[in-house]
Amino acid sequence: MTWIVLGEDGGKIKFVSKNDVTGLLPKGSYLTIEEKQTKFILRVDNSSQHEPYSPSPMIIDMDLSPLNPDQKCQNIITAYRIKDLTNRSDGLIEYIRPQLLARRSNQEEIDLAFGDIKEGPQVFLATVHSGQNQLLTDEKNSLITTRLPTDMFYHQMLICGKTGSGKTVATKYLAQYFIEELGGAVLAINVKDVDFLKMDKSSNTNNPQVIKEWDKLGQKAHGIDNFIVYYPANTIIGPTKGVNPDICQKITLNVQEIDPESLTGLLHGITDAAAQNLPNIFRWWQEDRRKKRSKEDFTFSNFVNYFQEAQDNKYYFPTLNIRSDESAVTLHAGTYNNILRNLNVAVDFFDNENAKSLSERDILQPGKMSVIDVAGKNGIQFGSIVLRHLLNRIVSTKSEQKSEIPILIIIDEVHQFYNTSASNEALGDLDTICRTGRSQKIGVIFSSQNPTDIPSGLSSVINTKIFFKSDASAAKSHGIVISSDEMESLRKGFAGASIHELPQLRILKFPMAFAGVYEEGGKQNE
Amino acid sequence: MDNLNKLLFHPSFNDTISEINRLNIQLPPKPSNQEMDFQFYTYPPDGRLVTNVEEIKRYVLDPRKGDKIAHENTTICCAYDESINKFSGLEGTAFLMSHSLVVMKELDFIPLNLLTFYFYTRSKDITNKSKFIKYSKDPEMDSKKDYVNDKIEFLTEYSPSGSILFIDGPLIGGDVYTFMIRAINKFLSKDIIPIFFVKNSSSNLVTDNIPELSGKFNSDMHWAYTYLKKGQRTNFFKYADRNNPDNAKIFCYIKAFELSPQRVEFHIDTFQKYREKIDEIMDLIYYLILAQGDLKNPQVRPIAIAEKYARDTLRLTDINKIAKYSGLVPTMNQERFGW
Repeated sequence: MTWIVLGEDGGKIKFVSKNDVTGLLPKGSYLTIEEKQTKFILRVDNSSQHEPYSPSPMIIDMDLSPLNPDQKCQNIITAYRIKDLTNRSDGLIEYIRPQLLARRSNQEEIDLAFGDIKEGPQVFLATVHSGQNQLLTDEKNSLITTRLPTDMFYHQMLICGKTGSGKTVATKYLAQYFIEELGGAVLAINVKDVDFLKMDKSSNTNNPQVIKEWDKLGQKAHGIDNFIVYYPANTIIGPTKGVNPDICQKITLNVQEIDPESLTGLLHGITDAAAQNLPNIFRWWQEDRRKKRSKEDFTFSNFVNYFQEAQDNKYYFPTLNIRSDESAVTLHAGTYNNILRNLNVAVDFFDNENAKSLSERDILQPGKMSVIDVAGKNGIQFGSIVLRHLLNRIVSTKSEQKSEIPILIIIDEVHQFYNTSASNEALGDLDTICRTGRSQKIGVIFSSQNPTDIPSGLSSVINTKIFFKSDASAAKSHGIVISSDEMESLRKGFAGASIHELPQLRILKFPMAFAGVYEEGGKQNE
Repeated sequence: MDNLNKLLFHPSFNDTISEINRLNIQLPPKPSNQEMDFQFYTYPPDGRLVTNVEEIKRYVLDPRKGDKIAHENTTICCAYDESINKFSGLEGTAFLMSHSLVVMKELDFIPLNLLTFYFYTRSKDITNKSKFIKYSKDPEMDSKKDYVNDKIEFLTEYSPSGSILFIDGPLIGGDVYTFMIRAINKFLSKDIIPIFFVKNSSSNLVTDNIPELSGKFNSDMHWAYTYLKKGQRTNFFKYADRNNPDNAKIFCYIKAFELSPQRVEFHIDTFQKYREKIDEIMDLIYYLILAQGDLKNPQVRPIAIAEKYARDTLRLTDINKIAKYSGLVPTMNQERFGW
């Protein structure tokens, strides 16, 4: 198939198809022009139909059949140059001369245009045109892929999409790559259903398209070997969910080890400043109990009792801040009652017998995926505390260079855990990770149905944004170049993207994850 | 069909351009469009009365039959049109002509174009310096002869055998009469049915010769417009040589829209050879005019396409640029005048 260069128009190169082109080349496709030793690679920005003979509608109106040649159509394309492969060294840019011929780019040329990325999860280049989602192919109809740069993990990612859009499947795919190819550790918070709880199992499907895509990648369905599901000791993962009980572990929070700052995760509906009193009150109590070496009195229930007793003391509390400065605070009655209500809810999470107290050492293991299931009752509160606690420990461990294992943290519906006006202080370690993730090899994937849920303090430091079918205006505000119609017509797995250090990529499709995805009617493939 | 889908250049095309460049002949940067007018070259040259071949009446055309014929695999339609640029310079007159043949294939119109370039001058000083510059006392006349000659050579060489060939312009008599006869014979030997179309004409072949119409109409077109309704044609008339009745053309007027009609002309030999098909062909013509559908440019569809190709190839051909890049160093004057 061949297109002919007509010239440049408003910074875009304009083409018309030759007779061998029998359809529209979708927007987002890539074209290569060769002229002697120089190659130009262009991305199609607009593709439309042109009728060169401008036939009259008159005969159709008279119920006569049209002349077949009059129905000839041509494909008019405009495309942006994305890469010139040239030896030119005089500082000028090569012309793309009229009448040069273009063809669809092949895999090798696209690799060159995208910067020849050697390492990273492979995705398929895709297009959305006239409501149709298609994978890009070369002239031999072979699927075109590219690699997402691994650096993207450490510059934080946002993955958005409505339920069923492919958001979770894509996240699983990235997690599995991180574990198996980068030898990193993954910590995922499972907020609903069994989304992340079956990653030990091979995905199963008999969808020929999925199998074709896996073949292209040279991969087959396979589960993650080192996979553990942690769940709060006060909940039960029902056997009907199909989760392997052998890989599940009860966890509890240990009041003696918990970072006081983590308790802010419990609080809702009070200001950040007011919420900041709780860690200082708790820290004072925690230190007091340590000094007294009284194990029996050192439980979360004791702390709640201690907190309740302050009613008799006009809500007056001694405090200890993070720099070990002692002070005191008198809480407003409303703040006090709010905190007390939430503390009562959290009692169940602490000091459970026969449950493990999760530490950063459990998470920071090469090739291990840890999932904390907070889908049960009051799970979000539990998750809010445990996430803050683990993030704090992970940041400390990494900053003290006690671990060099890369870690990827996947947080679905982050706003539920950071229900705050999103000042940097309130985001705490999460904000620190987002700003220092690259040097410490800590990556975070924020996953959400609604991008406006992402605390604004975070969205400014997220460098990779992938939008499955969701709200187009929100996607645009995050720098995704996609029209409302295109966004509306995205099928499962197809997404608009703004990838860190890969601006050439606009629309992509994730392969189905090799683990933990079950399609209806899929053949068991364990 | 391998010899179609090309742009051909007359053998003297480049040489003529090189020579006018070498001789420092300046052409104006913007040419004028030239219409070849053959009103005074009627065919046959010494014709006389028109007689009716059929009963004088209106004949209703059937576009559905035309539709069916157009879509039959055995029907090969092709068409010819031309576009001409005239450069009137101090030293003489140049004509850049694009002859366009279009063959209507199953899925596309396949074009073939021939570009010619001639320079005519009355200056023997100039013609003595180059064999590619033509001496002419009457460039208009000589250019017409070259035009007709090229057109006929082009069509007889490249029109597909067994085709119906729609030609924009009349059967031409006058000084080029013999060319035309030769062409008709060659067409018939290749089973080509040449049909000539005249859109604008003030001739009075019918109104001057049919007594009851005499003096009532400005022209035949005027009569036909008044006489016909949409989708009708007149009967066929014969316009024959005074001395040789076998040297004649057969014509009728066809009115497709509520606009000026067109004259459709056959050489008598063509008409006689294909008499049985003529009614079908008239239905086909009507269908093809409807397929064109453009009230501003009503003609059979393939001619309209040929016209587009003729104009486009001419537009793409910048003689002044070709001269500049023909390998010769432009003179100071050429540069100054913006060549």
